[in-house]
Amino acid sequence: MPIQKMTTLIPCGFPAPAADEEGSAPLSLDALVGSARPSVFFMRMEGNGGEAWGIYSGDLLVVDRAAPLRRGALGIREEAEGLVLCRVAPPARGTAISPARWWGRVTHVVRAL
Amino acid sequence: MQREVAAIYKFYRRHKRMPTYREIAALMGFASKNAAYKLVQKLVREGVLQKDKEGRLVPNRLRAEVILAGVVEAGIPSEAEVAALERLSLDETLIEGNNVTYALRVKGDSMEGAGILEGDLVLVECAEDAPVGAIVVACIDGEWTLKYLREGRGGRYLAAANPRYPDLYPSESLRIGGIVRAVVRTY
Amino acid sequence: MKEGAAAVYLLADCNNFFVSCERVFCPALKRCGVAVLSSNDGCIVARSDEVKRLGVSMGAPYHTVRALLAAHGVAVRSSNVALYRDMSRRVMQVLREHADAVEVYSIDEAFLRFPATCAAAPRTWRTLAHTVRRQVRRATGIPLSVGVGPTKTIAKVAASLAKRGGGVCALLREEARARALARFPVQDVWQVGPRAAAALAASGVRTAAEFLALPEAWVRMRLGIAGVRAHRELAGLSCGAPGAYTPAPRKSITRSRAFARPQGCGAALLRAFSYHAEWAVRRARAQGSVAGAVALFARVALPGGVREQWEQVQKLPAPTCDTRRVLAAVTRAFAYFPPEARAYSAGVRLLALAPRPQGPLRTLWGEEVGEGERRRRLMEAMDAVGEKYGFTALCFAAALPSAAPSAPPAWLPRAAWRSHAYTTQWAALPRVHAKD
Repeated sequence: MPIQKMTTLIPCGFPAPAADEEGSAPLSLDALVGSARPSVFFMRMEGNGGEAWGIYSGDLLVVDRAAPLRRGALGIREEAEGLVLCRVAPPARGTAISPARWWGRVTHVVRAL
Repeated sequence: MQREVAAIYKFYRRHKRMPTYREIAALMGFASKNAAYKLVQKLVREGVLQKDKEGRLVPNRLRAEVILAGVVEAGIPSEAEVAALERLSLDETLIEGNNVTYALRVKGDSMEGAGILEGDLVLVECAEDAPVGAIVVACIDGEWTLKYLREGRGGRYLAAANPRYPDLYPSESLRIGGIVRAVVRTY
Repeated sequence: MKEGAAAVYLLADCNNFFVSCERVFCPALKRCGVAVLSSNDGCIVARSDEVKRLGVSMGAPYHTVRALLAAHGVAVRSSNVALYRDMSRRVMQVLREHADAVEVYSIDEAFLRFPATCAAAPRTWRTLAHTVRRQVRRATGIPLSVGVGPTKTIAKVAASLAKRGGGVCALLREEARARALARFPVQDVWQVGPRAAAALAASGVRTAAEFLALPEAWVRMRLGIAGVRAHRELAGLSCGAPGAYTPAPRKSITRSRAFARPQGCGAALLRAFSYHAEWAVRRARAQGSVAGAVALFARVALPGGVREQWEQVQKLPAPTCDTRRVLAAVTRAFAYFPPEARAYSAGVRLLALAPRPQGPLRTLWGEEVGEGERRRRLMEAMDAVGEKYGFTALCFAAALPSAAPSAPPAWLPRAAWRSHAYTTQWAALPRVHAKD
């Protein structure tokens, strides 16, 4: 079943599901996150360390290895204990973000309810 | 068997490619990809269909070793075939229901506690009823909102996942529009 | 032999591909040696550089190197085919972004073909090679070596030089090529098989440059058309578009599998040997070879818990690729299997492979041996049926995988150290913890 895209917002701030738009192209989540791109991988969040960012244990992380790392973005780092989710810290003065130990950037979080 | 073969070949002629397992399931009216997979295995065994080196189906040209790896060697699908079958797709895994699914953009912070933030996309499967405890899109007294569906002594009501928002009890009507199946956030 | 239009080939060759795939998802493996085992944990199929330096050879039986690997802290993984295929697909996808003509040569190698019309300076090709390498590394985490040359064979030479350091090697300029070929062993040249190398060595030819200096007529006479191809390609004359090559014939064909349950000396075990033999013989016919001998081998446990490798070689009466003759030899060899032993794995190796003679083969005394015309036609018919309907559609009853056609055979692959299908199963995705 394709997903219908919804753009109409009703005054109180929530869109109305009844007002579907015939003719709008079906939305593909795979297209949205770029599942087919060679640099896009899925990972699974474990533990409650990400709750401050609204990321919960069991959430699906979409990680793009080729996406540029920006300061403040969420990234996956290679640590001794494995792959770790953390925020890209501002680099020390005068240095660029070293990509050496960054595995990739988290571009989307998907949670099935 | 003739009917299935005819349907697959018809698809092939029209689309200039072989159908996926999912499409075969749809063609045959099967409920699952697994049934399609079994049919294909059978057709491959009978030599009607073949698979190429990559494990893709081809109408009538094949190397013996692929069949060997797939069907004979262990009697179970080889890992490679399973891999081709199981390329990960969010659409396939998240959109399970038979009803129309909508994608809605979230506004406001009333569901923050549930990890649904402003700007997130929620996938809502249309439904006229929902189990208590689900996150729903509902129309309460003529206004649409995204909240937990709760039930108290006075009947059903809507609750936010944020202490700054009060519970919403319907004075006239509470209508369920759909159930939130997934949340997608883009960074 | 068709000479292609002037082109430049980039060979993108993934370094220690299976090991690299494992390391992408388990960073701890970057700090130790890694060996990947075949699908039934029988032998080594991929080695990290550390393991290569230990002198562990490709294809070494695992039990012969287990202690050495353990002593050096080498991590061992079972083959994870689903992961390797998916990572290969990703690598090839990145490569296709750079060239329209991409020939995937194997799971970890691909040729990129570019028209040489722009007459780009070697520096530009080198820059392109570096770009390809960087982008594959970035998108997939897989390290590549890239060789650049005017023909595929030269690109192959360049890629093996690139592996020794730098990651990129271009052999487009004549003088650079001459320097490289002067130091490159001729047996490492693509399409020069061990037999041809032996023939060349006997004539005192050891390097690719010396080979290149030979007159083509000599090469044609001594090494045949395959030799001429390699010779021309080394000279910078491309012999065919992508896909024109077939891999060099193997000099032995091996097939083995571990059993899910140990098998005693009985009909089921003979069936497993025969099944592997039938498979190997078909492979031999497909590459136009005849076998001089067949070896059965197995990992066995003897009473009292003694484990050993059992092997029995049976010479064939004459070089053949006739399934019936090979199966007869398998049965004869199987008679030597120790009756009290239990086999953990069974395998068949066809040995002394030689090109199949065109006419009837004669002994020194002139009597005709080998397969007669009728036998040859029978084998061709079986191959044709097999190609169309599957291996067991028409084969000798002895080689059927199990007595009952639908019952699965007793040997299922073993894989004790397999990593997860990180990229192809939702339940197996890499796990991530958070850290500030």
